[in-house]
Amino acid sequence: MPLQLTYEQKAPGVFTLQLAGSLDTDTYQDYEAEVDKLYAEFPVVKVIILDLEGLTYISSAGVRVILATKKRLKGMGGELGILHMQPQIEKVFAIIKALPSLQVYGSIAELDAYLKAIQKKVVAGEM
Amino acid sequence: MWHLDINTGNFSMTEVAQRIAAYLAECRCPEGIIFAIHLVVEELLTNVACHGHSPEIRLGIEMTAGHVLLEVVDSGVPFNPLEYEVQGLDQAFADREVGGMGIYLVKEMMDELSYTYKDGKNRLRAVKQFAP
Repeated sequence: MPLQLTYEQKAPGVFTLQLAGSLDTDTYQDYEAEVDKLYAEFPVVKVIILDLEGLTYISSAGVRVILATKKRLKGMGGELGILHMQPQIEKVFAIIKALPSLQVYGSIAELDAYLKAIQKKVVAGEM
Repeated sequence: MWHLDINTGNFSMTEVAQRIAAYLAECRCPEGIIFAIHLVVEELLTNVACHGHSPEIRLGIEMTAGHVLLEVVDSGVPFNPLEYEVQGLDQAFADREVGGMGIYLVKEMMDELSYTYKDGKNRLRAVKQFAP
């Protein structure tokens, strides 16, 4: 199944990236290209929230590129968050013991509270 | 046993996954199990295609009540995934090196694995059990 990707700026430096379909050997390069496009378009990228509501499948190739995004953000003092992780996707992350180091949000409300806190940090120059 | 021959130089994982899913759905295999088999096949094929130097892979699947048997046969470099130890899973996600995750997933997703190397062929058999 192909991968559909859409990003949106929620606040300065804060983005959501929606993924729908499969993130795997055949599609991980599409994901990388979309993240590169986001970085090319916006000079400041501090937080990327991956909205995985429509993601039905992930393999280690997909996990790797998410890991790379997290590293890229962390290198610049930023953060990666995950929203709406489906149970089968969560299971894959759980098996490779990645859940403890991921910020996972179950709902938009939970994410909004987080984004407000992030905004304060950005305004205060802490991020 | 249902078979699929894959040319490692030129294959679409999406197409392979669709064929497997169609076959398993026909056998009334539960969706969660189809997901697991899809994942395991992808990890094993990617591994053989990247490191095994085998021109072809023969995939076999057999489904009986509560049990899917998956067989992957290739003529590449001898490689026993059962002996492969994955390092670094205790490290934070962002600090990890990227290798080995696929094989670890295979081991964790399947209930039984066995490997033989005979007549120049790697043969990996993996079983997934479920409540029928």
